[in-house]
Amino acid sequence: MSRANSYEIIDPPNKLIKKAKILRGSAANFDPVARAEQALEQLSVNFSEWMDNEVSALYRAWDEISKNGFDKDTSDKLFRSAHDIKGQAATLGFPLAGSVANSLCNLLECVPDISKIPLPLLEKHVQGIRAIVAENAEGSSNKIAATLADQLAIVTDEFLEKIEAKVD
Amino acid sequence: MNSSNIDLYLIIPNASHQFEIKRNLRFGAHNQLRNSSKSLTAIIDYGWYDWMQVVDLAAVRFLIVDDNAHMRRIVRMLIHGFGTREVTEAEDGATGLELFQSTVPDVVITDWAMPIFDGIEFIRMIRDTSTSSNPYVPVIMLTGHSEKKKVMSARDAGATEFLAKPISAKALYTRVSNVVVNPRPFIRTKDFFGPDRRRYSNPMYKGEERRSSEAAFEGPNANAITDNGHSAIL
Repeated sequence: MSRANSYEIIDPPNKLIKKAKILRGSAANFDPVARAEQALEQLSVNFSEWMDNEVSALYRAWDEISKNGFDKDTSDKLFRSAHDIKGQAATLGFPLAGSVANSLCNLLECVPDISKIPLPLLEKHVQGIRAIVAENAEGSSNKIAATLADQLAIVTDEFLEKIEAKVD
Repeated sequence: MNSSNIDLYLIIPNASHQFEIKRNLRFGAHNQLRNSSKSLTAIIDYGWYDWMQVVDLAAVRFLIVDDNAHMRRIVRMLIHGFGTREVTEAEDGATGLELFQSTVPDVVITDWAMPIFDGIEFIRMIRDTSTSSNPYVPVIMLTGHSEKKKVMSARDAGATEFLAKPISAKALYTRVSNVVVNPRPFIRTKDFFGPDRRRYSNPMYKGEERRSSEAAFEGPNANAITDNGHSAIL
């Protein structure tokens, strides 16, 4: 293909705009975001239980590593569980557990040879998430939970920098 | 640092035309905006929501694909809160594709990491014009991934919008109303079929045309306006 005709622009018919009317006048006072936030608030009575479920799933994945060893399969399961917590913890009221899960995901994702990942560091992350949720450290104001999250992130970053330096 | 006033142009694409909103904003320093992609992103997000029209989504049908039941429930509640009645759910890409073909939803919201096949493969199948029931459907990628390379992979697979978890009602509504009110044209190249990866054109840009099958985006942050005058996926 020549540069001049290397792409085609298509304007698909916008059927959606016929279904989704733009509200005008007094109807425009409807605040969908406020209503959705109210709906989420109603749902929030379940959040503590859901967070417990997520932590249990994380622990099951960690137990599998303890019993069957650390390989691609068990590492993927732990990553998936940590990734779920990373994405949901803040919504469920535990942003610091989300920070620790983020650090755990970095550890599992950024080391090309997973056999180089120190298992004690993985375990500290799993224990840290469990402790934050067990102690009901909701929000970001719990100092011990915040320090734990910061320290795990610092140790992980230092480890990843060393690994990166070796790869370079 | 001394504070200074600068003019910021927000160029908001509309279904039928483009217009510019010139706003005079006060920043700590001129360089703060230039060097901080976060500042720029915040302003663009603010701009979108601030100027957004309220849309009645009651008749719009959604498909949510996410392997996590809690997240599906949260997204469903938010969408119902927006006024939508019809929402279907799938817990993996394969079931999602089956439901997509049979229910023909108006908007798809999908996770990235899922069993059987993931969100990227799912989007590629949706965009396959030879088999898909609606290859032009807007797809919002909702994921815990937020790294630039992931945003670009989602965009290159054909995602219409990218939303990093944790989710908020405002962020989700911004994406949903945007795909409804401001649809982008589709582009077909040798290697790509999907919504135009350039959100809008900068009328001030005087440089060479750089559209090709490769990504045009080369800016410092996936949220920023690119150096060739076009914005990338948010």
